[in-house]
Amino acid sequence: MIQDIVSGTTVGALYVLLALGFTVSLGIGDMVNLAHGSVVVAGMYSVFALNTEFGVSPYLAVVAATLICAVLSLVVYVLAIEPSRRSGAGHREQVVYTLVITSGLAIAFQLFFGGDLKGLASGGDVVSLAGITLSRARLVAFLVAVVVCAVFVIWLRYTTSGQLVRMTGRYTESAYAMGVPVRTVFVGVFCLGGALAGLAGGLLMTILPVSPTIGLDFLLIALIVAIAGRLSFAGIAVVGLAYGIVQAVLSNRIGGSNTALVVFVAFLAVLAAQKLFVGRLAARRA
Amino acid sequence: MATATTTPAPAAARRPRALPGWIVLAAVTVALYAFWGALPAEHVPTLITGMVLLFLAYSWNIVGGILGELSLVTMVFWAMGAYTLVLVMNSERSAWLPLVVAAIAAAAFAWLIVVLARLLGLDGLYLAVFTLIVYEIARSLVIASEPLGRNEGVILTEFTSLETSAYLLIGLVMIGIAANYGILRSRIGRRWLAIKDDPTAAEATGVFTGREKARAYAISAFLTALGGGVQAYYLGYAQPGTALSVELLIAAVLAVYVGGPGTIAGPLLGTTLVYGLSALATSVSTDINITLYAQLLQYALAFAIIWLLSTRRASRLGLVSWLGALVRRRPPPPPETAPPPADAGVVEAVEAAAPHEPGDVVLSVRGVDKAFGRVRVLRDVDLDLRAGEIVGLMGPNGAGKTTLCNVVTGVIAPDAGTVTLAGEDITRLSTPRRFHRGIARTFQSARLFVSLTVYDNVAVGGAGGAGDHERVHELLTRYGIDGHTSSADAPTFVRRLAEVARAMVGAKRVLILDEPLAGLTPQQHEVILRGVREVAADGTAVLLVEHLIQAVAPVCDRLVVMADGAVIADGPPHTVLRDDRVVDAYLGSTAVAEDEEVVGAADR
Repeated sequence: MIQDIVSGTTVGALYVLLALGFTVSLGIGDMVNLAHGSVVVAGMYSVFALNTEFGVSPYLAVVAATLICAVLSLVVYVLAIEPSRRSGAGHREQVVYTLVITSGLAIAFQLFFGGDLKGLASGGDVVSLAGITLSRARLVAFLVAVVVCAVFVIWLRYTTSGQLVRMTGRYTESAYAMGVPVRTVFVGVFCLGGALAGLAGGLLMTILPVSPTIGLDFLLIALIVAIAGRLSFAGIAVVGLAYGIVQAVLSNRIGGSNTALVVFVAFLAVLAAQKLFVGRLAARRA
Repeated sequence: MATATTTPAPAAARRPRALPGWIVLAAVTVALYAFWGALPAEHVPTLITGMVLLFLAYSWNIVGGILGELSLVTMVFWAMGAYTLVLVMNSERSAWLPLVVAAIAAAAFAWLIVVLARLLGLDGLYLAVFTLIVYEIARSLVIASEPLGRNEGVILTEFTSLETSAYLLIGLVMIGIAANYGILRSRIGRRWLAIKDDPTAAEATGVFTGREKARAYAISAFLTALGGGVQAYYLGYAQPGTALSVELLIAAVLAVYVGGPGTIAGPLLGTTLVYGLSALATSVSTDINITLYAQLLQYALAFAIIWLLSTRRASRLGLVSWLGALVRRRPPPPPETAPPPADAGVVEAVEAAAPHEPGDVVLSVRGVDKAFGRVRVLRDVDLDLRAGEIVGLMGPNGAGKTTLCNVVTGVIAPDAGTVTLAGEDITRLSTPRRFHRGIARTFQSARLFVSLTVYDNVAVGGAGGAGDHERVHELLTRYGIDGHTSSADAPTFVRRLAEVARAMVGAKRVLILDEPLAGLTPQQHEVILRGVREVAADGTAVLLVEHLIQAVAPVCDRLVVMADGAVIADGPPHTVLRDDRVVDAYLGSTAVAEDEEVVGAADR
């Protein structure tokens, strides 16, 4: 049980990281990226390819995956977000176009890497503390995720540049009138979200195998964590960790498919509870 | 300027008859059935797969395109049909009646989803997420279910013929097209498009959004379930990979969006584009990778088109709007405005208006309070409107004028107080119900339904009787805007007139105009105010929210002034405008010069 909770916490921290990426796009820039899960998968495949094809060490590959996913997000922005912003359309178009990119990326992964599960050759190093064993990869992933989340939130909250970014999202027209390069800020925020997804994906690759179509699963995780966490940093942290732990504890007992069922139903219950007790569904701004 | 007398509606301006469209549909259906047998056999499977996608696109277009709701739960309905058909046929019974029953069950399930989404207050992204989660729950249940064969699904034991599948699909596709066509031609389609463009304005125009959404979802789900059944019949099995395929839904959604959401030709154009290349690829090669490359190429092509269209104006309708722009006629010139305004024009107009004694109190607002968070926007507001009376509602920005309109029309609920219409307490009634009881309004910012023509914008709220058509037509002719079809590209004045006309059609008892003159020229003011006087002369109470006192004061029987959420003055224009508190609240104590000018205008 405690073993499950510990390993669930490490995965949960990665869920927080990937949901954070989704949330900054939506919360700051009001941009919906349903290709977010596929970007996570792209990060995973990047690490896999760099490690197995070119012998790059996994953690160097994770850094590269972060950059690759930032660039990939730029492509997603140009393809899916830019047209809907330009024609003044709202979330509807963004949802459709980014869903299509999800589908397209799944096909591309299938073409380049094949349809089967791919995993890294595990190092097998194990850290043992007070009777709980934890693979070194999980420990590193957990620490990196926690540090990056903390640094990111501190940057956004307490530095001048971070506040400028947030205020550009909230008061776009005023920011534009004051000479802030609004478009660049939005593109930057979107790519930053993608970079976080890539980082999360890269770290996930060090502990989990990958297949072309799991992007939808990561998207669901990002959506559930971000929305149940009401797009607030504290909310995301709590929901993300809880998700990881519940998943680890339950899937060993009732199986993966039933666990998913429990999580989805719980999510709908949370939505209903939020509606009942808070009134509005999700704070739109982070 | 068109005269106030009603000219008989010219035949050309009426809505074109639907008959030719139905004849074309029937002819195409007959032709497809007649020539299908002559097709080379190797192309048949490709075409069938294409028709499956086309049918799903048309089914989804009803909710996603016309109503504009991003429902991702669609594949659950599809699976309901697919699994029902396979399971029933495997038990050696005729599956067609059970399939229809499954489709009805799907419709009921869709209705339940609308109710749930409404209870949770979901729209836009959150609705898409909600429906996606419902889909995932259903998928988990199917995969966990032994009778449904888990991941492997269930296989039809009976042999099914390709030919029957094809004939069934042709029929289904034509039914799908006919359903879309029928909806778009009818008043139902008008209402659904209005909901897509602006749900709040739609409710204020008498559209019951909840009821209409439930209808759209149910019809779409019914058709979708039939499609799932026929696909399973064609494939010979139902499994999560096909019956619950997200990829199939995404392709259909993309087809609708690229082709033109909420149009009759859009899904067809889009499907041709989204499926054409991979159809070509499968017909030249059996290599799965070639098909995958073709699919990727198609998505790239679709995005190229989306990108190009987004650089154009009015690209909401995808390829359809682009093709439409190639054949569209130039819009008619903007309407002539009122006769040149001599200084005496206003005075004459006031005198010309038939003097009328205000009748009984129609609308009565008593003790209304409203707070947004800690800000009290309305404080103990009382307001009476009498039949045939024109009341000007004034006040500085933030005084609570628009909030008061929202309380009267039911867009927001007051914290305390009552709203009574002709003796009936309507405080708790929904906005559309109030519209049908005779309260109609315009909004501060223009809120025309851009997917609808000018005629349909004005007609959307009516009951749809023959008298309505005459009334709408009379208003359009009177305002000289009957020649305009597209409401999206119309000039500001035309849009404003259309909005005012839309409210006038519904305003049997109370007409509320929120800043109808903003941004218009004095000549254009005259056109609108003349209409207001005519409506009042027919016995409707008019509430005019306006900053332009000079323009409005001469036509008002009474002025009501608000400041900081409270009514500070209520009476005949010349008394109210001399009221010290009004001058102070509205103009500031130093604005003496303007003060004189305003009072002068009221005295004239």
